Parts: sequence; structure tokens; C-alpha cells
Amino acid sequence: MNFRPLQFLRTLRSDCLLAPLVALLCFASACSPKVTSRLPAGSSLPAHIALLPADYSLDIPRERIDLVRGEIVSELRNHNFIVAEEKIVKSVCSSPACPERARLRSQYLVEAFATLSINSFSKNNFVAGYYNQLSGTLSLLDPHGTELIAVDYTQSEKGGLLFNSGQIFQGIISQVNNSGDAAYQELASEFAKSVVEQLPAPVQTTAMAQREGLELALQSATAEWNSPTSYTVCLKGTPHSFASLLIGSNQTTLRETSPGSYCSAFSALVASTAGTPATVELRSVFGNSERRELTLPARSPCALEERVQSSPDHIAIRCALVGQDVSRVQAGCSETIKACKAEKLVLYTATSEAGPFEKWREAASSSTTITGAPGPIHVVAVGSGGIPSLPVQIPTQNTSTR
Amino acid sequence: MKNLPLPLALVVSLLLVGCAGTYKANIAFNPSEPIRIAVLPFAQVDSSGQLTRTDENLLIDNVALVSSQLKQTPAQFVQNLVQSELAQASLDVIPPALVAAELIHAGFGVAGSNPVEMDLSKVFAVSPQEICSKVLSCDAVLYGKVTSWDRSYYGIQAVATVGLNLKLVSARTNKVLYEIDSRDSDSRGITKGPTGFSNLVLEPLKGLDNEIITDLARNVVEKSIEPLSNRSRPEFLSSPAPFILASAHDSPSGRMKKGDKLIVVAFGSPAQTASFDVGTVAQGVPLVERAPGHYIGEFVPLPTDSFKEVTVTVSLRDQFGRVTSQKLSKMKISY
Repeated sequence: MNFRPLQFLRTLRSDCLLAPLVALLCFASACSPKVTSRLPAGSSLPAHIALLPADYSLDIPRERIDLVRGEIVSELRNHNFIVAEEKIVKSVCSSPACPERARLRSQYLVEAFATLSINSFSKNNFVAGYYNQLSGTLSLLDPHGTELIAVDYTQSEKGGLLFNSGQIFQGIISQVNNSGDAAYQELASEFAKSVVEQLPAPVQTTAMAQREGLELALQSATAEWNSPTSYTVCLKGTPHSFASLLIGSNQTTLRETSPGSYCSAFSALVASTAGTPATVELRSVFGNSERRELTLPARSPCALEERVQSSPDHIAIRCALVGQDVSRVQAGCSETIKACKAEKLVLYTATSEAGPFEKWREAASSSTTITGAPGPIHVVAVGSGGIPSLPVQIPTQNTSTR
Repeated sequence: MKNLPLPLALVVSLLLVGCAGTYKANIAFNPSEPIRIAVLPFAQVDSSGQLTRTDENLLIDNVALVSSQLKQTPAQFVQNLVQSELAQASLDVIPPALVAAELIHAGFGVAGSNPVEMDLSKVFAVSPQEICSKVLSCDAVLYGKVTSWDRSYYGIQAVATVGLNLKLVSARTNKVLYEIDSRDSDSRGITKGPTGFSNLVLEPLKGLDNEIITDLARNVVEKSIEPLSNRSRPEFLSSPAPFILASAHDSPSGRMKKGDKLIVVAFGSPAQTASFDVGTVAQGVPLVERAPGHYIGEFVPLPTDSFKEVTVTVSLRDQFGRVTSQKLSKMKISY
């Protein structure tokens, strides 16, 4: 290859002139979001929208993608869009493209779908300054998948001594501030703000129309034993909503078994936590909710906790007849125990309370001896049909009742 | 500062004063509790506490390359920031559009306004009980007031100041659950070290840019909401996240027959809120701690349930909302 110094210099010179121009153009184009709209001028966007699931296959950390998505959702809500809750969209959509959009539309009244694609999200710190950049596109699609509007934007932020040459202290402060992860948050927040500002406002309607689709009614909630070892919590209310049972800080979903009827069965184990307030909640896909307090069953009808009487070498189960077919109230027992009729007692033991517990002995009567057990004993009453009760710890000399 | 030359001492003092905001917070509840709150429309108030509006037509906002008009009122802008920040906390915030729609429906709009404007004096006069029982379904109400939104120019120095008062009031007890009075400022000009005479003149003008006061507002809001976030609590930093050492279920083949129950056990950090998911069929099924660190729970299928090869996932959540999960993906469950 022949090297021609003069031609090279000429090329270099033209490149040197072009480079700042190109950079200027790039900066200028990056300054304002690029909007591609198929909407007629002055028209509004649908108010009820769902942000489709994220595509994490990109070479951008998942946390950063989630950060931007969170900011976009917040900003859409701030601009009076009614955005479907993410966990609900995730539960309906099987992939980021969400082939189940028709279901979101028909059941949850979603009128438009938003997609967010992030091209780059980086923070570049160099000694005398920094340059952060977030580039992506927010698109809104109608129910048929036609793009209504797309906003393409690159949010950049620069600072430090190099870019604050007129304010030396400000340069130092901004450089220090950019060293933490808060810089990502700020960039995502500003990106979301700039992008969502470009969208036309959602449909402005009267207050009544705005509430259409948001009305929610929780008609009734019940908790009843359906077997000696489990109970069912059911709630009736607006169909195609999301129901849950809240016990303390735990939230358990109730399944919609038929339109407007939500149920879930719980083990009697949970009944042992009775006393903590329980609440049922019905929530629409758009986040409005109604709650009602619910009294959980205090204990299983066949719970043995208060029926175990023990001495160092003997146990007896009070008010739970074993090995007999009874339909009467046992002497001294205030409850009918027909449902709790037990076929046998099974005793488990372990060398320590940490377990593992192994079957030690079976008894076909309500009382049995417990001498010779190597450690703590748990007893299970097996009811008719082989349904076992929850294990109960037998207070012995070395243990105390839990 | 006794030995410093007077001009330098002055600059350092101004710098210190410029950096120090005041944040007086009082928190009287556990922010980890997922209480449902309604953020009512924010208002701007003057020094006497009366509702007011900032003059939004400053000349500087019409000078290209220096500043541009803020598209919202300061109160709306700050409210949006607060709502976005609250989304990061554990609180369950009612969507703003829903709050607005319900308030307008309940007669809190200014009669005859189009689009409907909120009657702020009415909003601030109503009790939280009434809001949460008659208008919305919520546990507490957040009131917000922008107490200061100033951009001042002093020739060689420009100072932007933002003040904010937030008050979260319980609808049940009318008790103030959280209150913060925040005030902070940012400056440009002499105190930020101008590097020449032209900068001494130009930088204070640039300091009037709306972008500076909005950035300041973002910082003020972030610091004002910080106490409601678990991440700012010292225990969060000093304690480890929950751990799961082992977990299992009792279905050796993964096929549950009609009437079967699925027992799930987990061994991990004690005193956590434990639960498990059976795919997306049942989420948050409680696990009960029978001995420290030993959790047991049962999934009881409903007669209508039917699912194929779903994964059981065990989760432990601590009081700060940190969640550790373990998937039992080796043996998927069908019913």
C-alpha cells in the first residue's frame, strides 16, 4: 500500500473539520426526543395501558433495566395514565412480546400497550469529569399491535471539572456525587420524564367515565374448615381482579375459581398463627383495591394442642376417641368430636428437638405409655380415611409445650 | 477558622451554608408495614401558610440557552417527584389518576373548571378518615406543601431554594405517622469558585436556570422520603439478608394425585416471613416456623386446580423487605 503524506494530511484536515461538526450534530440530535406518531394532531392516547414485560436478553444489567422501567411507570402514572400492575402483566404474558395481549384487553380492560427498549445505559467516570448516557425508545401500541407513537431519546449528563470549568467547586461536588449509584437513578428519572412528556395526554373524560373499569366491589369473605386439616378462604367480588389474603406481612393469592369467586385452601398450620390480623384484599389490575378484615379459624376442629395430657411415662388424648366409632359427646368434652374421630395415634421421636423425627410407635387407643423414648416425642392422630392431624409436641421432663 | 484569611473564611462559610439543608423529620410508625396511602394534591404555601402560586412567568425562563419554562406548577412537579420516590419505598401508593378521579367524583373539583382543577382548600380541610372511608380505600393520607420555591439573583451569586412539608396522617387514629420539614438551597456564582471574571458574571445568571432548582427539588424530595425507605435504616446495613440453607417438598415423583397435599420445608435464617410459590398457581403460601429456622407449610390444591410441571419456589423475607428465594427446580410439580 502506497502512503501519500500530502493526501493523508488533506484527509486528516477534512476529518478534523468534520469531526466537531458531526459531534455537534450528534449532540444536537441527542438533545431532544425524536417522536414518531401516527396519531392525528391533537388527539389523546388511551388512558388504560400496560407496560409489556422487559426483555432481559440485552447486554444491560437487569437492575438498570428495572430501574428505568420503574421510573417510566411512575412517570406515566404521574401523567394520569392508569398503568396495569407489573406483576399482573407478568403473570399473564408468557414472553416480552406478550402473545396474550387479547386477554389483557378483554379481561382487564387494557386499551394500549407500552414497550420500552433500552439501547444503552452507561456511566463513564474519568479523572476530570464524567459522561453518563441512557438511550432508549418508548412505544405505545394499539390492541392490534400497530404503533401509535414512539419516543426515541438519548438522555446524557455530563459534569465534573471538565464540564464545569467556570465553577470549580461545583465541578468537584458533581464529580463526587456521580461516584455512587444514585447517578443511575437520576439519569433514569430524567430520561423517563423527558420521554413521557412527549406523549399526548391520556383521554380526558368526566370523572364518572374515568372511574369506569376502576370500580371494585368486595361483596363477601369467608374462612371455613373444609377438612380436619385445612380450611378454605373465599372472597366474592368484581370478576377478573386479584384477591389475596394478608397475614402479617405475608400475602397469599386467592385463585379465581369462577368469575368473581376467589378461593384458596390453607393448611391448619396457618391457623396456629391466628391472633395476627388477617385481611382479604381485592385489587384491580390498575391498582385500586378494597380490603376487609377476616377472622381466621382459631384452631383446627381436630387440633390436639389442648387435648394432650401427659406424665413422664404416659400420654392420653382427651376428647379425641381412638379406635371407636362414636357419634356422641365424650364425658367432660364440650365439643362434638365426631369429625375428629381418630383411628390411631402415631408417635414420632428424635434425639433432639432439631430432628429428624422418625416413627416410633403406633397406638390404637387414646392413651399409651411413652417410656423408653430416646428424646422429644411428637404425636399425630390419624383420623378416619387416614387424614393425619398436625403433630403435637408432648411435654416430657426435658421439653415444654410450645 | 480563626487563622484563615478573611476572604477565604467568607468563601468557606458561604460554601458550608450553601450546602447545608435542614431536614426535620419525625417518624412514628414502621415503614416496613405495607400501609396503603393516598397522596393528595400538593399545594404551594407562603410564609404564613396560606395557599399561593409562584409567578411562573420569569423573564429568565424565556431566554434561550439559559432556562426554559417548567411545564408544571412547582407543587405538581414536587408531587410527581414524591410519588416516584414513594414507589421505591414499601408503602402501597394508590395510583395518582385514581386519586384524582375519585376526588373529582366526590366533589373536590373547582366547579366549572375545564379541565377540572382540584379545589385545594377543600382537599386540605377534609379529614383523613373521610378521605379513606368515603372517597378512597386507604390507611393513611399524605399531605404535601411546597413551602418555598425561590430563585434569587444577587449580582455575583444566584441562590435557588426549595422548601417542602410532608405529613402522613393515619386515617384510623388521626395520628401523624410521619412528618418532615425540608428546606435546602443551591447556589451558583462566587461561592462555587468562578475561574475568571466572565464566569463571575455569567455563572450567577446560569444559576437561575430552572434545571438547577428542579435538580435541587429532586434532592430535597429524595432526602425527605429517605426515612420511609428501609434502606436508610441503620439495621438494614448492619444485618445480613435472609439465607436459605436447604428446602424441599415431599412429592418424590412430582405428580400429585387428587386429594394430595404438598408439604414444603425450608431451613434458613430464623424469625423471617417465609412462604412458597407453586408456579403462578399459588403464590405466597405461608410457611410456619415450628423451630428456629425450621419452616414448614402445606399447599392444599382446590378441586378446580390443574397444572403441569410447575416449579416450587421458597422465599424468606426479612423485616426490611429483603427477599431470598430458592427454586426447587429439580422436581417440578403436576396436579
